[in-house]
Amino acid sequence: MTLASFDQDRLGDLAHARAFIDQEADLLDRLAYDEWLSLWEPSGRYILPIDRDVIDHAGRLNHIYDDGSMRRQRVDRLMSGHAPSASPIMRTVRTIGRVRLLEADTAMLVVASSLLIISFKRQVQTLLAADVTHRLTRGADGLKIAEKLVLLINSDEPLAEMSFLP
Amino acid sequence: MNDAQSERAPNARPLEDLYDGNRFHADLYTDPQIFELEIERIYNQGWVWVAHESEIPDAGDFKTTHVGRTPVIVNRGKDGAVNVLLNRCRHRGATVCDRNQGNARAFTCPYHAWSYGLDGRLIGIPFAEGYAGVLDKANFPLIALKVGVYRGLVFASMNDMVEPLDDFLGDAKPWIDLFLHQGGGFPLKVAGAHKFRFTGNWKIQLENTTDGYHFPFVHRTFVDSLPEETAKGFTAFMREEGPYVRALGNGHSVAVFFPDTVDLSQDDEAPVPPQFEELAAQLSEDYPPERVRWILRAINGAGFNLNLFPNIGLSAAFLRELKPLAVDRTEIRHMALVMDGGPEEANRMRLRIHEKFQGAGGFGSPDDMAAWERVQIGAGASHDDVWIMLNRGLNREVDDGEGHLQAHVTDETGMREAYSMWKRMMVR
Repeated sequence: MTLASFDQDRLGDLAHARAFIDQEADLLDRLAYDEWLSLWEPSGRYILPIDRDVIDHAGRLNHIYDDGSMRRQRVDRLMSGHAPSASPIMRTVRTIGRVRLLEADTAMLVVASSLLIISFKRQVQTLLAADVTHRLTRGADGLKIAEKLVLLINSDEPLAEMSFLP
Repeated sequence: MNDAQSERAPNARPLEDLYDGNRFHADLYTDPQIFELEIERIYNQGWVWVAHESEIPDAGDFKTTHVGRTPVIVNRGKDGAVNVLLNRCRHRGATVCDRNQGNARAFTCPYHAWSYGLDGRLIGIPFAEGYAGVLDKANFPLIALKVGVYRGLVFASMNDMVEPLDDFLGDAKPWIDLFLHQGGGFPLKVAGAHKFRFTGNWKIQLENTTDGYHFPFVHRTFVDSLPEETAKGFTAFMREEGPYVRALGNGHSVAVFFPDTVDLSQDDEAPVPPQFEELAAQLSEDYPPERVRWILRAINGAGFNLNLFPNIGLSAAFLRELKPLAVDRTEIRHMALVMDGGPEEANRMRLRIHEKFQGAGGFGSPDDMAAWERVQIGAGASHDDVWIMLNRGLNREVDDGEGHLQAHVTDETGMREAYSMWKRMMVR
């Protein structure tokens, strides 16, 4: 889709989606994890695959493949203060770019973006890059995340500690 | 062999004084010259695990990995045999393959296009007239390592005189056999791996596989996330008398956390836990009740961690490989295991269970990494007399009746076995 072919509704959808994922990034950087959980559909899936070009993530080993219960547990773990890797939680600053609207209808927006996260802990600063796809449902109380797929640029290579939510 | 020993500082403690069965000096984590010696004397002389056969099921399948720091290709030849070849062109030394895995009919060097067959034979040299009477292709195959396979585990050695693999594995073999029972009657297959690196010495990870002592502390948040009954099981072994760790010789050891699930082929008559009831109902459509019970009983893996010196662990439900990169840098690969040809729903459950603990996104591995990195930082403290204590359980170590030392699962008997082997291979 070229920019010229966008109509006003689509530009509106794009702006809406962009504002939403920027807000999500801000919550994650500020460790406002409870608020972040409220952005999700209860059945939503949060996925960090290992293998690339995979469609059936459930049938493969992933870095993260969370349903609502696992997301809650993940947040509790990070915030508990009892996890050596998450005390302290890494500081992060993330930047979202090249946001594109892949699909839009009355029920759903699908948005692709690039994500750069600079993380910091114990004098070590690390750069993480990923392609992200959000599937967002449109409901009475705004957008909710039905699926967030984060494909790290080095998903299938050795990773370092990642004690935050990408 | 180059004798790096002579390169150690003149005032350095002799290697034999660095471990005394009770404690070892922190130089074992921090001295780059000791690390070089370990590569020469342990990784380049003994058996090193390189693959599981399920990673290369078909002719032409290959993976690349390392023996110590030496790049190798592990592949399956047209004859079905496993080859382990130095990943190094005989011409100018470039690696002839730089993909992690795949399928190939030949390996072609990117530099001058010398090409090699799956068995390493040099099959093609472009513009060969420059070599007429100079070089005979038959004499320049990729260099083959010695290969040994035991029940799907593939080991390689750069030392042609290495002892037979059967002898090296020795008393660990029955435990490898038991580990396979978690296949529920199916062969085990590697189904993906988490790879991560930490800033610390490889032996910190080697120790950890039989370290029952750390579990409730480092992994408190993992235990807290479990259903109550399962959580109880993960802390009960700290106090109970039954769980044990046993030295198996040649540096190998086993830590038995759950004696009831050592042999998963034996029905323990325990009820199916509530979280698996739905899965049990699905499996019952295709399998008889006793098979369903076996598959479910095995879903968390065997009740023990088997540590094989120097680089592979058969750990509950997964394989753990470690690769020493530098004195303070180690790569780890946690391979998930599923039933080859087994029920998809149960295999998916195995993947979810593996994901929850393992890898950079897991609830367990990141905390291990954090603890290990802090060991490395502390061990590097500039003080000549820093020793690492390895004496837990010396007061209650007994012979198991077959010549193996055994103590409580939280004791350091398995680690002492590994360091005894370290000393045997390092001091000569």
